Amino acid sequence: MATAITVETAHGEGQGIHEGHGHAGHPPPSAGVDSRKLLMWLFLTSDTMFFGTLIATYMMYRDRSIQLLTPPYPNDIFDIPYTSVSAFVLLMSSLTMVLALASIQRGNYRGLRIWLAATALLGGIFVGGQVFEFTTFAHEGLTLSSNVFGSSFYVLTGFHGAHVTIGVLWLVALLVVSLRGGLPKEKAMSVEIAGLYWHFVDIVWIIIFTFVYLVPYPNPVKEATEAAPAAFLHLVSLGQQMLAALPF
Amino acid sequence: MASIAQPRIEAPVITAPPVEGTGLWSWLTTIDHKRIAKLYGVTSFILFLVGGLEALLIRIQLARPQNDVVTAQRYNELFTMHGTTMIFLVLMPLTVAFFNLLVPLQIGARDVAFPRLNAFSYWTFLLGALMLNIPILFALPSIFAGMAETALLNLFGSTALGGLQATLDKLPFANAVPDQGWYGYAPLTERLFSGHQIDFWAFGLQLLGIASMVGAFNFIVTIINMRAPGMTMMRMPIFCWSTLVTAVLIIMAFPSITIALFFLTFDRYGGTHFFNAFNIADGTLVSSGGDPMLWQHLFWIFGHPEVYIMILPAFGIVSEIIPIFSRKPLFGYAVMVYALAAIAFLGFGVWAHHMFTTGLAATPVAAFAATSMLIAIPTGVKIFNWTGTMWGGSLTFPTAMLFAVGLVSQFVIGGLSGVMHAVVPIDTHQNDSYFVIAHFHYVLFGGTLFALFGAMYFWWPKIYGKLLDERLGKLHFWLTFIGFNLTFFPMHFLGLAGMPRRYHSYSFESGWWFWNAVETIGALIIGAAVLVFLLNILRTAQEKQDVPANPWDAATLEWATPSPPPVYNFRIIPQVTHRDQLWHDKYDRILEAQGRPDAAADAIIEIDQLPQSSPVGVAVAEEQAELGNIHMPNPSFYPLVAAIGLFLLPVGMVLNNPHIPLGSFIGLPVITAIGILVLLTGIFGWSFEPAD
Amino acid sequence: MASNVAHGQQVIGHAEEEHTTPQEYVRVAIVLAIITAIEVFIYYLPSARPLLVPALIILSLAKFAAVVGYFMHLKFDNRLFQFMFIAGLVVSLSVFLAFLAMFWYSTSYMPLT
Repeated sequence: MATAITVETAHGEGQGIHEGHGHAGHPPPSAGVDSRKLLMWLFLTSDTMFFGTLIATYMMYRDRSIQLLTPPYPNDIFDIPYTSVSAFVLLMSSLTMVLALASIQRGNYRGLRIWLAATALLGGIFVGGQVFEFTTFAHEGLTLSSNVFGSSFYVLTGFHGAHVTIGVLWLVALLVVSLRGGLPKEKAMSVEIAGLYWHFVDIVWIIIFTFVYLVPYPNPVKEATEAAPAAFLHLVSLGQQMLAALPF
Repeated sequence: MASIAQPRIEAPVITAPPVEGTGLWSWLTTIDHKRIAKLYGVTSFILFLVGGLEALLIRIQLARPQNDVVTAQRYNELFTMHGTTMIFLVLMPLTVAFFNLLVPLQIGARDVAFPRLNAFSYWTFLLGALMLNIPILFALPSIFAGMAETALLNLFGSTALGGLQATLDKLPFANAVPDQGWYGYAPLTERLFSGHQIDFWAFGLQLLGIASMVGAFNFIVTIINMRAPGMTMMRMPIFCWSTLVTAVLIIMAFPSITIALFFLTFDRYGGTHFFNAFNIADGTLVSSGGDPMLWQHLFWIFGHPEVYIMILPAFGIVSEIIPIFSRKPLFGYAVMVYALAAIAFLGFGVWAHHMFTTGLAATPVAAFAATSMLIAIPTGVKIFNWTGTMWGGSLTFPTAMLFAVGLVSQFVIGGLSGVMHAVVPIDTHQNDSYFVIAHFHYVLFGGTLFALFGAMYFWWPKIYGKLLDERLGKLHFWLTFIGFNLTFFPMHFLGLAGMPRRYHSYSFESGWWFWNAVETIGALIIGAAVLVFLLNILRTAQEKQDVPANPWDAATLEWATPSPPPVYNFRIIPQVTHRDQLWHDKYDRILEAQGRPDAAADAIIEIDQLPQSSPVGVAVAEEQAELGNIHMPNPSFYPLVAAIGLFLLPVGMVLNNPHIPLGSFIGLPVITAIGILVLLTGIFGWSFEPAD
Repeated sequence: MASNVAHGQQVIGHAEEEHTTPQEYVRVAIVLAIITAIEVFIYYLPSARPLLVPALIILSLAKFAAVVGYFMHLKFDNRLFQFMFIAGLVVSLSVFLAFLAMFWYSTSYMPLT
């Protein structure tokens, strides 16, 4: 992922090699903002479309497996108290992240390391919780292939989980750099950018937690299959004919 | 470039300005935007020849009724690869080549904001193109052998080549060419209906999407943050505006296709049901709830902005060329900028007009028809403004201008047939017919490709320090123009007469044979035009020329640098005071000297061309000594390493196939693991390598 | 910020650098935690069912705005970032609401609720 790459700019800000003197003949950034921060904001803007696609797909398929009577159903699978705790953990990791930034901006390196470690730890707990959640759900019969609910649920939350995992690795890398003395106050921007990414992952979870977990699901109605459009049933019968025509 | 090596200005304490390295290694590690532009340009031009060859084969197959030059399966593969290649591997990267070349030069910067990311973008593009093209490159020998076999048999009754095609068909991957059409509609791409040819297509597109998005982020930051002092947004050359708008479209449109391809990969490898309505459980078919319409929506949420991603840079190019050869500033600059932004914004609200015949409800159909018609307004504004620019100008018509005016005329035809598609009843009739083919070739060939050819003639001196031959250039233009119209205009008639697209052959009774024969002749003329262009390139390469910095007397900053520009572009970052800065420096200041009151401007004319003893030359040397030496970021090979790592991940997935011996043993576990390691090495080395 | 100041560059929008103190961050976090608790609480409240969905939407948007505005500092940051992010949100929201509307109201797979 491009986000995990620390990048340089022709302004020489990337690795902070040139702090303390103006770069030869280079004018200041014409929009008056840090190029790397601008890059991160652009990435996050684009990421709204990534998660927009995933969440919209989930919302479109939200009730479909209930209507088609293809279990397992969300109401039998979700464990709201458990997920509420993970949501709380991720929310609090945003607080520790912002405290890490406040520490480095004030030159408090000990605080920076403590809060970075805390954020990475909370993120790790969240990912671990998600792995446990996935395992439990799989034991209860919800897999990627069991129905469209399983497909869209695992891919959406898994994509988010991958974002969190990358974030944890990034935070750990910052922590190691800081412990080796490579993260002075002048490089607060490195922490700020990681923080922007981290908070974005958090706001995506705020949306997922509400729309995937909390907004209630209907219970399956036996007559629901009759609601399936005629065209769909026609497609199924067409597919059955095609399957019958297959040589194997 | 050698002349640049010696500093011409004898300044007090100054070292030689940076020079480009030579040799293969310097190309593999280059992060210079001009070199990356050349890499993009050459790669996509080679792919243009491949895609053009595919188009010629399609046209030869359709030359007469009941033709059987290629089999129906091969025909499917050819039109799929032709479309995918021309869109993702030719038009987009060729415009990216010009973004790379021009944006830093036009905004007065020494490079893009993130030079290494730029190199990463190119290498990912190259490997994605390779991924997509591996199968067709193995299949083309078999296709040609088949044609030669048939020709020998029909002309001489000889069977000398008998069996050659069958032998070549056994080449690895020769039967794994993507064949599902460039938009890969589900459920044709699902496991149930396809082999592993879809993997090459899906993973290839995924890599190309990453390359495009990374490049787009880079250009947005560059344009927003690297402009020379005084260059406000509204003083920026219009090409930079079109780059900015295109890049915004890329970062907002590509996520949708990326996720759709991600879903497809899960459908194919993970057993999910995003796009397939069926599930096979114990040999019987059960409904899974998946919806093929999801693919269509996600594809066109990306696909329609993609159309503007291909055409807006062409608009930018034409808006640069026409004023120069009309000897007038661009008419209505601000309105042109607003029109670009309006097209981009509306471009996100029209995707369902590609799906009018899929059974959408009446309300969405009406809404999308209305937004689609709305787009004609800002587009029409641009056409009028180009005409307004030429109106009353002292027009000259070198090849670049011919191609630019060619765009204006041909795009109008494509645009008008586009508005026709917004009218739902007409669209229902034209859907999936040759009328649609005519429409989008008028937009993308008559539009984008004409502009790109014009851009090549216009900026060739800036890239290579040589002017392309004008006589051959005019021959190139007229052959292209005539061949293009012969090929694509009759498609309107055929489409209205009911000829469907993607059909391998047609009967004599259909009455379509005449225009099809004309079209094939037109396509061969286009082929001849491309050969003329290649001849022009080769002849120019052998010539010795001494091209001045500004051979066209153009107005934007790239022409203030020598041809070709030194690695650092500008010895001193220019101060910008006006929109058409070079014209202002040259002409307004003359008027000023004649008594016209005008704001004093800092000349930046051709600093590198000035004799060192001149007053400005001395001033430059002094200023440079004060600022310190020009410092450019170091070359880096980590972008290449990271791109190779990224490439190996899908390679492992593709090899993980029962048809390939040992594939499942070495594919996923070994190659993908190596890919992850290489990728991590690239990222790690990149992060801890000093930037410059 | 700091590095930019070291560059001797005029950086817009950083006058409010010390705008938010750690105490304020903690206060925002407490509010966020309380909103989350309310969300889960009303989820289990049968009498809240009719208004549950709008309430959840409003509460989650409030959380979203608080994290973006305060933790991501967007409320006090450069207007360029505000414009970019909000414009991106508007485009993606409108695109996907139209997308969902087409699925929900042109097939009989309407949500059952």
